[in-house]
Amino acid sequence: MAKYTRRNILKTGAAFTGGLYLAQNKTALGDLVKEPHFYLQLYYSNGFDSSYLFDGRPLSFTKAGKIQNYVGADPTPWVGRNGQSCLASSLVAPLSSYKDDFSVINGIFNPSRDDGHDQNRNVIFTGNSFGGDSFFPYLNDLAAPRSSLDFLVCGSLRVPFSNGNSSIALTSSGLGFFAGVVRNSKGSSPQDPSIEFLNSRLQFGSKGSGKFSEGVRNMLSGLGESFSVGTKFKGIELGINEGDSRILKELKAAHKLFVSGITNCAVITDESNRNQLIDLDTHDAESAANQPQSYGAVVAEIAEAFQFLKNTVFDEAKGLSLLDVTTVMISSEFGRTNCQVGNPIDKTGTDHNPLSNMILLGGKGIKGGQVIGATDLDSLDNSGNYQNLSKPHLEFDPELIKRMGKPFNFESMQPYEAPEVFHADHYLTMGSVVNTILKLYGCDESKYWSNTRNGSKAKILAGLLK
Amino acid sequence: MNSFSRSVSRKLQGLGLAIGISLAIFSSSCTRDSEPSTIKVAGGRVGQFKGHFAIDKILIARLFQGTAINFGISQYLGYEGSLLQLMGGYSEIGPANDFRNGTPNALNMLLWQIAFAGLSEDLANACVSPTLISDGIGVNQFNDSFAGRLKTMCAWPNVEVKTETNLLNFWWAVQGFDAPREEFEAWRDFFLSPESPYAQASNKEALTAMLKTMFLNPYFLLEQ
Repeated sequence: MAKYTRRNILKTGAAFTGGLYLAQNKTALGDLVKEPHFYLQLYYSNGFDSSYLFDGRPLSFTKAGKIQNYVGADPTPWVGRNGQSCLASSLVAPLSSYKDDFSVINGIFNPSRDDGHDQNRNVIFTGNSFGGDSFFPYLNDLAAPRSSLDFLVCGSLRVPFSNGNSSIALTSSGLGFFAGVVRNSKGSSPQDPSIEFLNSRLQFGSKGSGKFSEGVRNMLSGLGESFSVGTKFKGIELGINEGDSRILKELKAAHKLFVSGITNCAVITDESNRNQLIDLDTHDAESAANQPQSYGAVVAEIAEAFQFLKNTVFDEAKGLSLLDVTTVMISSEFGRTNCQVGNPIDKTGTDHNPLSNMILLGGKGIKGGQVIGATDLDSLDNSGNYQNLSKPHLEFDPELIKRMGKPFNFESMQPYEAPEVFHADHYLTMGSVVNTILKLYGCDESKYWSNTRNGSKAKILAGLLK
Repeated sequence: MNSFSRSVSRKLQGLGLAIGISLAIFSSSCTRDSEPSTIKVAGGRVGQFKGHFAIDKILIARLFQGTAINFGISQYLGYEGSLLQLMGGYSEIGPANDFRNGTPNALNMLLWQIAFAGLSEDLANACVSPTLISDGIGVNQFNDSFAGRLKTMCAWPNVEVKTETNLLNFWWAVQGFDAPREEFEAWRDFFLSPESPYAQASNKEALTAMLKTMFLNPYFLLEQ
């Protein structure tokens, strides 16, 4: 047993200090290897009718009474660099300039097949109809440097997240106001004796195992981080102009919060800061007839987002734009039906369709310009009836009004015709999309989503990764 | 805590939301000198913030006279509703029982700090400038219980005021019976200790710190 001599203590101290030095170097080197990586999601509530975006059907389908088309024009092929194609509405023309900046993912199937907005939204953000863990905190854990808040919601998002330290529902105007309040506040410092005392009480109260102690732990970590957040907010000028569009305002806010280290993940929603032109919940014929206007506005916002991300310099010396360091997802909670049973095709609304959703994915780490996945109900016989109907489709949608994602071969990255027997893992799901992002970040596979309860992890879309 | 206090505490804790709100509404008619009000808001969110609305109600019930008071912590946050929502509150959209932002984080802790720093300073300022404490709220709107206890504490740092009884009365006026005894004891020791950074501080500085540490105590802010 070593004696506690002055000599031994000095030796031990020197060894400890050396180890600490090496560890710090190693950590520093590790951090240097990591690159800045932000995540931005544009979320449009109420469901994308992808026939007005990247999953159209010829007008002959409309004439056969199968799918509404209030644009009144044939969609045209949108050919991906991977050789796959889809039919794109003429409304997406403004996105042609950014074709190589994102990939189209069609036919995303929700295995739970829930019909409601809330359940499908929960699936998009947590992988579970009832809500649960978000994947955003995992991304923050792997980002360099880790930000103060796991994620920020610009707008409002009704999802019961069970993890993460922030679901901040604040629009750019609220953020600007917040920065002003922080700047004008007297505030406290961590060295304030009253704050040191409070800190000691929070440490004491955080030692328990119950929910209250968990709340105290959250207060403790929040208090510790709050001074840093306050300092960061004091330095923020969002640079928003009166004439900026609503999406530009939110993008500017997200950008400033990214580069200030307040958050690495932002979701821009339209739920409380709505573009009045956009109404995607088109159950009635009148609002359905306005879809050309709605999707025109959606496309304009997406184009403006890519323009902003590409034109915003992140690192001038390295020639990096904000898009180079930001992975971008554009999503809604589900698709829409082709039409409603019993209504004439030129006077029909559309309902919810969880059997197929459409997502655009681009930015850092994502191969752009591709078309991934496809939906069925894409072929008519000479009598104007659907052909090649799969058994799973007939089971899930006997009225034949919901396009359904086709099964997907994850090795060849190709869709294929549905087999007789349904299995969720054969389909492209939100789990696959999220797991692809997690893979991109180098996230541990234990965090990957599964398609079904106790099922295997959803396969990643390896062909989408650079 | 004596047996009478424990008894009152147990009874009040069992009364629930309706009686809690009644206490807030009819606080001016309650025997406030002996029974600080305790408001319990809806359960099921243990460890989450009670929320800005509930905290406003608690503050009004414990510090001010009844319902005449037009007080809200929003006045320390520029009356910005979206900031209040970050401190825990019911969503204005979606299901009516959808409580949002109840989990403490860096942003909402910063907001609570800013709000309570302002409120604490305003309340303590009553010792030196007994007029308006903030927008339209004067010290004459304090309820008798709080006004009396605050007035006593305004004698700080005189040695006569530094008694356990005075501090316990002040604690009860603000905290009610929300926190366990050990929280009071730690708070008392911090301020009564001869080494306390506030031992010789001015009444305004010391009372600001006392109030702020009570308001930011987890038993005051979080659901139990």
